[in-house]
Amino acid sequence: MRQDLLKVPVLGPFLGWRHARTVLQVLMLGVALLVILDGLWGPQLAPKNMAGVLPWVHWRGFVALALLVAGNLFCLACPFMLPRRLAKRLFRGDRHWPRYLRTKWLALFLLLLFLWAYEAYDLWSSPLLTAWLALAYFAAAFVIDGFFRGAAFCKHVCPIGQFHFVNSLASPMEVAIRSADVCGDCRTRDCIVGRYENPRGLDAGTKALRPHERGKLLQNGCELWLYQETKGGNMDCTFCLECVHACPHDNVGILTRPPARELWEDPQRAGVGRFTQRPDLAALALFLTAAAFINAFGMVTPVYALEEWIGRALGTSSEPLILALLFLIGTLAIPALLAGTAAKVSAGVSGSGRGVVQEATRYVYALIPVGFGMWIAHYLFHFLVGGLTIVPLTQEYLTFLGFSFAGTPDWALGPLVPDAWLLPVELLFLELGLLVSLVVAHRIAVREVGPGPKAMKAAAPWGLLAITLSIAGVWLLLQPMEMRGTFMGG
Amino acid sequence: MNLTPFSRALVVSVALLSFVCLSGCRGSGYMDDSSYVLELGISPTPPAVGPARLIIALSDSAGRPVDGAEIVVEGNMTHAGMVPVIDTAQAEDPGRYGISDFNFTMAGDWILTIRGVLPNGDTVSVQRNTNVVGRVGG
Repeated sequence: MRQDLLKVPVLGPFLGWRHARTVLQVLMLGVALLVILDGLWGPQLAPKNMAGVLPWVHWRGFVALALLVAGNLFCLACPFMLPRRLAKRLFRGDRHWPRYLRTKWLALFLLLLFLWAYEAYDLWSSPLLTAWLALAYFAAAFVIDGFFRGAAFCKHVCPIGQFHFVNSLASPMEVAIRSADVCGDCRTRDCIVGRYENPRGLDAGTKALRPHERGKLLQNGCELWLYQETKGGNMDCTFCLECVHACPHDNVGILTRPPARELWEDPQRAGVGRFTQRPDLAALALFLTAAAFINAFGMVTPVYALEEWIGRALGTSSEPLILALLFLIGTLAIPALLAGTAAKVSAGVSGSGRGVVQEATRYVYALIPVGFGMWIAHYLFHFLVGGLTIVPLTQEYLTFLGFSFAGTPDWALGPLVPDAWLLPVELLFLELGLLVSLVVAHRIAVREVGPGPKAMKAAAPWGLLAITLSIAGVWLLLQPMEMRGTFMGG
Repeated sequence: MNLTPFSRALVVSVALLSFVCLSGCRGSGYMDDSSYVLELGISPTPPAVGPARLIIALSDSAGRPVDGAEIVVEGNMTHAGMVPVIDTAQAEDPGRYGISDFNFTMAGDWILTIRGVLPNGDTVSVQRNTNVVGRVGG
């Protein structure tokens, strides 16, 4: 029996309220403004600045938790969407997004750029750069969606959104229809086209009304082109709940589901297509999986020895250049080589006769959970170690504003859990991710070659790859941490 | 330009939030006072994870040692989310103050903020960066 978040007392009615998203976005906009203003004009010491603490400690921690226990809740409350909505009203945004960019390749490149810049320019230690990054985000969302139809920015550009989309494939909730029968009888399809003053007319069995005959648009449909009846899962879903509000039959909810199930199912998904026919999506999944480990590698002591070795070999001391090479090798070349090898082996043992890319595009989604486990381990570490640092920082901020009730900041506040809990918690999520990856690899193999020993053989190379990643993750978690960057070379 | 109710609400919200936040813009609050000189020595150099000895020398612009100051050292990592290390220096020699076991809790970049309150009420503060290396063998 699937549970529905929209049926939960208090929370359900709130989320079902038409303006709930705007309220959440305005709250997050306030947080974003605080980050921008303190980042631009506050003290440039990350632990003493909202732009150092809120995005890199709290936001990332809450994102990991939200994806783990629910789904893509942070796209729901995304503050970058407010100026985007304003742009839609000011400029109409009626151009079509270029056909050649309707893939995830651009987003993958931007995500690579973002993660590289994070390390190369130490965004985590620079409130100023963090503020500029947020401003750039607002500007990009405003400009792109001011020009183009639908949610082009979310679907094809936003690097953070892609992170949410891919990892939410393993989340336990999705925006989905409650009853297929209701959709079967629906003739207006408001969830995708939007609700107008005059319904499209198919309910009456007549010809559909043309757009100019429908009157005023009362409620948007899905701007990411996910038609609810065949949507199937969380890919590209921002949890915007437009479909919930548009559906005249109250047939859309936020429903529970077996986590990660959509990774081994391969229906024709509305607005997405089949996962097995989306090499761009598979590449994004592989990249994000590898990036989970490379991003964590950037925070342990051995990375500096490797950087110095690369620097000596290339005769350069340019950290951005060295890191660019490290990222290209670590997130693209090595993963492609490993996944290619696994695909070659699985195609061979299953006798599928498929090429490496085709085979990898079927199986690579099995690696998402172990990558997600590593992301959670990493982000939760920072959150659990420094979750309470926001308390003295807020006290100091309020005192600066003249609110004496805030009291004296206690800078000793920081950890949310005892130190001894950290490693077990990190290992728990990493290994849970591995377990799910192994299950998904086997399920995909069953889908592809049928049950039995052949499926085990076809899944084996992918399982081995997931285990290898997990071992790499354990090694990373056992390394001494070292957070260097601002004045590297010391 | 005719704004819809939503756009108006959005503009008002942004303006309101900007006002609230702008009122909170704050500077670093740390300034070197050129009337005094604060010098920091760390042993071992480079410092390693664990306790280190900090030696602070305080003198006036003429180079005369300044005694009787209250000196506090705050160490922050450059990454947010790490609890700062705060310790008070003890007077050792004329114009010299020391902390025998300032505990660097993690390897990486640290920013040490040294604040002093002098007997005459003057204040002085400086920031110094240091890179803390990991323990050999992990």
